Amino acid sequence: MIMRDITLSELELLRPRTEDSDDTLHMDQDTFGAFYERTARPVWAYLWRRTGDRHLSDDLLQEAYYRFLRARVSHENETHRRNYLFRIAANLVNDNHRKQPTPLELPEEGKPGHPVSEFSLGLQSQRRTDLDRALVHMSSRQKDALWLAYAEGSSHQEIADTLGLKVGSVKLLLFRARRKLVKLMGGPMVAAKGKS
Amino acid sequence: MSRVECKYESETLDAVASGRWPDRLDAELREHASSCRICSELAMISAIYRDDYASAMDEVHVPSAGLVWWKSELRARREAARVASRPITLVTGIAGTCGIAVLALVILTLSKKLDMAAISAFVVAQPMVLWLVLGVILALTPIALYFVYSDE
Repeated sequence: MIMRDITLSELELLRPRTEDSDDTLHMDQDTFGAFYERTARPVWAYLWRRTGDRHLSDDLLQEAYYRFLRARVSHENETHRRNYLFRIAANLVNDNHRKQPTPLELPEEGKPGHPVSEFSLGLQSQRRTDLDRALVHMSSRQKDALWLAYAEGSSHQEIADTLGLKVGSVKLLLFRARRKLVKLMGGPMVAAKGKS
Repeated sequence: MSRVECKYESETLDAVASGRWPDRLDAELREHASSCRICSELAMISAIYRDDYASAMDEVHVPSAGLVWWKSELRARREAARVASRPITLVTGIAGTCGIAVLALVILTLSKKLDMAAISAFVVAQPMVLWLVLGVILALTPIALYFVYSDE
């Protein structure tokens, strides 16, 4: 492929400018900065726990904010805005999983691709390992709902908004997801063991 | 159909969040929890996810807001430039196709009027002329393309 030289006028066009960014990004830089500070860490944590890959999480974080900034969507409030961002992130993760299907079994601990192995040694608990092994057998929607409900502390309504479901469906989804996860992790006794 | 929710769910979640689960529950919730499968499962899962979330947050390293903004803006401008240049590329392609078609038509028309046998005999007799014409075309083509595609 032949690449022609970029001209000065095009360079000017590509140069980032804040004063006229409304035509490309649907938020001003200051508002974005404040929103980013409130949301980037939880979104990255979600991406990392869903993908198990730091570099991929970095890329998906950038992509999620880019899509968020480009979307012509009016947000009623901060919660709606945050839910919308998580919705984008969830779609990116699921698209990525479709392209690179998750293996049925996790690699051995210490081997590349095992999420637990990326933790420091002090945080490698049996319960965490159990969770990772169990999550392999859960659907993407179940994993998303569980994370949003119990890690993020989102309400049923917020989860419904994020995943594009009805509130009643979220309750049923969470109920089934919890039951399946408990079963996969060996029953409620595991909780008592983990707590001690 | 079996129950999918329990009226004690929010209290159970509060107990887990405040670290009262399972040892420091009030009497009512303790009695309920001992017999409610929904709440015991909820407590187990929510405790696991709370720990998992705390561990994950310790590992978070995100780029600065300014960097994410700058990359987004750069990409948006590139895409805008690409979208803007799409019609130009299309028109250029159509013009090129039309030009080739017209040239082919002219050659076809001339070939019927000219004495091709005489021309062929001339080319065979004077091969240098053919090479000269080809050389001129090869020399002029890049210059013509430069003037077509350069902006300045």
